Parts: sequence; C-alpha cells; structure tokens
Amino acid sequence: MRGFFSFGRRKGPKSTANEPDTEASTAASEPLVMATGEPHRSLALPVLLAGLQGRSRPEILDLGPAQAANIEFLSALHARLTVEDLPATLAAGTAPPARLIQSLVANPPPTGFDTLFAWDLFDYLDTETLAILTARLGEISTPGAFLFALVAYRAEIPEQPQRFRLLDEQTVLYQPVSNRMRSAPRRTARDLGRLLAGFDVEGTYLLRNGYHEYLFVKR
Amino acid sequence: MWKKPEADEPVRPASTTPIATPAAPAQHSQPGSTQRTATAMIAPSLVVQGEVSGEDDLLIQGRVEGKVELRKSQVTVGRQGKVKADIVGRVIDVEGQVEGNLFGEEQVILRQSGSVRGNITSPRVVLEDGATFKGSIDMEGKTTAQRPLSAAPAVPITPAAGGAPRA
Repeated sequence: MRGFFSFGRRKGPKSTANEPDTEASTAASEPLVMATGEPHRSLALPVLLAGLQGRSRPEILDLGPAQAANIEFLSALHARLTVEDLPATLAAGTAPPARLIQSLVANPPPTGFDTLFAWDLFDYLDTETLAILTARLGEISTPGAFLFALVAYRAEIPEQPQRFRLLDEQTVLYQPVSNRMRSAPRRTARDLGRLLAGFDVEGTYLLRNGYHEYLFVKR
Repeated sequence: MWKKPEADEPVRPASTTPIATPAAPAQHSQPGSTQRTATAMIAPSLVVQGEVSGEDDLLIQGRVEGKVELRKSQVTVGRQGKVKADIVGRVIDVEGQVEGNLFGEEQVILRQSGSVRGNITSPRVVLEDGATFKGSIDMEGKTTAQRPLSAAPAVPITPAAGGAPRA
C-alpha cells in the first residue's frame, strides 16, 4: 500500500536473531502483541501532563489502538478520549491512505483536540502521507495543543507500529506487535519541522532506547 | 418495532425469560449491580429491527438494528451478538460486535472478544486487553480524583544529532 509501509504484512523478512540489542528481538514469537514489553521513562510526558493541568476536560486524541491502561490513566484527567487506531484503519486498506487520513475523526470536538498521541506512527508513513496526516491533525486541534510523537534515531524499528501503555506520569510501556524489524526513516527534527506545518517543536528528548520523544505545539 | 413486554412479574433471580431459544444468561458479576432481574435473551437466530425497551436485563446473541433502551437494566451483547444501534443501559457489557453509541448509567465493559465502533458515555468504562474500540470515551460523571502530577523533571534539549542519551 502506497503511503504506508507494509502494514500488517510480512515483507523483506529480517531476522532479529542476530540483533540482540533491539528490544523487539527479545520476544520469542509473533504476531499479536507481545505479552511483555519494555517500560521506558518518558521525558516528554510529564511536560505534556503539566501543560494539561490547567485545562478542564481536555479533549485527547489517541491515534493508536485502544489500551485499557491508557483509558484508565487518562480518565483521571477527566478527559474526553477519542481513539482512532489509525494503524488498523490504514492496514485495512479500505481506501487510499490519503483519503482515510483526510476523513480522520469525522466529528472532532468543536473546540478541537488539546492533546494528540501519535506514538511511533510517523516512522511508518512516507513523507507525503505524513504531511497529509499532520495537516489533518492541525485542522482538528486547538491552538496550544500538544502533539506527542516517538521517532526512532536507531537504524531499525519493529515492522509494525508498537503499542504503548501509559503506566504512570513518566513511564511508558513499549509493546512490539512483531519481532520482525525494518529500517527506520530516521527523520531529523528539521525534517519533521518542515512536515508539521502549523506545529512548533516544544521539545525533543533523546531516550536511550533509540527513540526521540517529540512534543509539538499547535500554533 | 419490537417491544419487550413490561416486566411486571416478580423477580426470579435464578431463571431466565427467553424470548426465543432458552440459553444461559451471561454471568458476569458487576460491581455495583446489586439489583437482580430476570434476563431476557435475543437468540442467535433472531434479527430485531426497531426499538428494544423494557426493564429486564437483556442478553443479545442475535442481531439488533435500531435502538436498545433499558436504562435500569444490564444489557449484554454476547459473543454471537451483532448490534447496529445505540444502547442505553445501567450496565452495558459487550462481548460481541456493536456499531453505535453506548450510554451506560453505571458502567460500560468492553470484553476481550468485544468490538465497538461508536462513542461511549459512562461514569466508568472498563476495557479488557484485546478488545477493539474506535470512537470516543466520555467519563464525565467519573468521581475519581485527578491524579497528582509530578513536576516535570526533564529539560528539553535542542534537537542536535548525536547527543548523549538522556533516558
């Protein structure tokens, strides 16, 4: 599928057997969600949550699949949570990715979203599709909204987007869905800044696990 | 329109009131669901188009299109159940497929085998891992105290390549 890097498919199998330094290679079998995951300290999340403190009933958009832990965690913020599961939507391939993304969240809140969790999705979209996505996210978010994204700086990433669970205010559990790996696009902050028109980089945080956490703010 | 008869008979805790095929009702113990009523069932072979209302608990194993409104009762969408309707219930328990909005007076439970495409409004929403959900969740009535958020410990770094790991 153009625009989306071989979602849910086996393509160019790359054994992880010889790459013990990657997180996904620790899992023994596939597919489905690995029973375990790796918790990692988040540096952007506390900043994001602190920014939400003053907002009553924030509108939150999660582009990943529904996760019980995230719903429980975000409910404590008295938030209204919208779950889109964009990876599943794109993998289903019922329409070209651009059209699917343009119709993302058919009925956004009137005031727009205050926070958007893109997780690691950006690494799985080509440049053109990513630009369409970020334009759509700009349309449905309110000025000052936070956009949280993880972008790999390591050479390889899991073949499919991972699942992420908010364990507490500064810990995120990474759960690979597959133990197969693929090359990462390794976009730089400058690349992302160009692609995310309408958003400013609030901060980037380099993690030891091979990912950059990005916190963007809608202008 | 299909309307279930009013439940004016005495409560029979251990029995079911089958609409079609007799079957065991869903047996999930729900926190807060102290009131027991008879459980009606829409059997797997049944297709209901229209509004379902009443006061008994309801187990849906068939197909329902329209609206389900049992504000004081538990509505269970069984594994075989397929609902294209808004559901209003005291407790809504989904093990099957629902395309529509869910309004749970007390809580909405989405089981591992369950799938919901629609919006959920309830003071308490429980989602089991593996469940499929797409839509929004509004827990406005939830009384849970807001978590105290720890102060942000991190200092943003400039996006320079090759920096030392921070975390």
